[in-house]
Amino acid sequence: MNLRELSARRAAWMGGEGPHGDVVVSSRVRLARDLRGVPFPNRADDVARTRAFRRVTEACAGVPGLEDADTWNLDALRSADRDLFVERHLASRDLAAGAGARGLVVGKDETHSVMINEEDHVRIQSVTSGLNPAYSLERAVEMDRALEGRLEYAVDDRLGYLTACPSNVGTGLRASVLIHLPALVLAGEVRKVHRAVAGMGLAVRGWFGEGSAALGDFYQLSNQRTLGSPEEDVVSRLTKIAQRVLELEMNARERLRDAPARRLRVEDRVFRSWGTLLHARLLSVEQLMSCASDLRLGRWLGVLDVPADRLTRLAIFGQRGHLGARCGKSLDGDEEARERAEWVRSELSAST
Amino acid sequence: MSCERCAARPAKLKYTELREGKSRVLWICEECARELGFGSPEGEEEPGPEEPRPLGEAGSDPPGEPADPSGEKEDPPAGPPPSLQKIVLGVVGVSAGLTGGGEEAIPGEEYAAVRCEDCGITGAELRDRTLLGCPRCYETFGKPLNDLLLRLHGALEHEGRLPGGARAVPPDAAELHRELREAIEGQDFETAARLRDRLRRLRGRPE
Repeated sequence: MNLRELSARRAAWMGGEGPHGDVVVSSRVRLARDLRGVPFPNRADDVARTRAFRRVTEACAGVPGLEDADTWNLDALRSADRDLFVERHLASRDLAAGAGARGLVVGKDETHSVMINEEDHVRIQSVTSGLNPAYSLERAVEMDRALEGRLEYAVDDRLGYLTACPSNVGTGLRASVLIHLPALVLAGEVRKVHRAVAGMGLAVRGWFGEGSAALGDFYQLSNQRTLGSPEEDVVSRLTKIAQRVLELEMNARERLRDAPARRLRVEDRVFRSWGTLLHARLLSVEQLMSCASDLRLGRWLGVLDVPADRLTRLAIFGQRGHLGARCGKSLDGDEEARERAEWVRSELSAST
Repeated sequence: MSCERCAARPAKLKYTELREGKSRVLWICEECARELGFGSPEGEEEPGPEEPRPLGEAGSDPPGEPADPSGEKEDPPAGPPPSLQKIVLGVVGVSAGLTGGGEEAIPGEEYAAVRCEDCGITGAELRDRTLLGCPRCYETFGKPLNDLLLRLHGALEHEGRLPGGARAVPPDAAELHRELREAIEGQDFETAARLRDRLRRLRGRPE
């Protein structure tokens, strides 16, 4: 698989299926693991990092979900190409921007993957579409079971899995759901939801997770605590809270739909966004995400018929790294905005 | 190494000196520690250079203090008095510079010069970082880390999966009491403190 092929691949999680798949884009789980007796990547020298990279990639061979996986050494890629992995939610920004031997092992449909030498030596990742973090946890645990037979993890009887950052020690588990909340944003209630969710021990982040803005009204809810609660409890708590947020969003949507004056405004906005995507000659990422968000809401209101999976793909394949991989060069400024506008037009005209 | 205060006797303990608003870590002998008011049980009333945090907050204070882990009467531990333990274990000053948010820099004054045997990182270096250097750091900087972990997670014990299909589950109270007694008899106060916290949490757990 080359970068161009990767940039065109439809990952399983982009399918818009699963419970509440029209509102909840994805549910992910990652397990942070480190190798016993090896300095964490931030402290390891080149030799130790390279050795850890090799050990982990070798151990991944034949792990459930990683059969026929592709191994990517990000150190050998240009910065613009590394963005591709961030945009597909395979790599964190830290992994892309880091230095030395580091990379990814990615299963065929991208449900299963392993980040190597990010903050920790190993980060097992599993993702599915819709609200189903329990499924992602099961998949991640399967990978973990296979890997623990081949790698000696740093574990402590009292603290559990030892990780580079004390905020991950214990289970090493971060479970998250990416949820679309346009009606709560329109109703000015999203901050209230933020506060309530934060009060329940969850973090609220943007489209790309840690440190990212809430592009296109997408929010990521994730657990913060990793010590003192078993994995299943953490995931079921996250699911319950996400369900509650989902209910609030649905209530807000119904209020929108049932109030004629507000509904007219929203419809106007949906069709303006539709017009922008169909006709703009220059399109920024922010505009694309915001318009795609409106289209999603329009789809729910029944005024536009664009499939949810196509909208998810617009938001991912329209990012800079993907555009660059398709044209075979890095893009900047107006060239990037033009390329994006052109691609979005062709995508949408094909779907209508 | 000889005592940095009297330069005569061997240094046994770390002491944080506060002078003109600046702190300095000294290795001192037991005799000097006594002269500074840390040496005898009577000296306990005399606070150290900095006030320790209230008991029961961080869960990392050594036992033998007013907080009784089991709710039963335990014999006071023999050996060095509690205030000495405080210096040795670096509880004093540990809470300085800790945040519960993104900046998880770690140890306080007492740990500035401590160096992890595996990765060579020092407590002073960790203060400016959010990441530890290696798995061993959890042991090396165990005490101040406990304080941080409690802030971050509200817990100090893992529950859940372990390699090989094992699971960390909370043990029952009787088992913890037995371990606690053993730890106190063996003067392993660090373990005793941890066990006391586990017992407290266990009691707080709805059955």
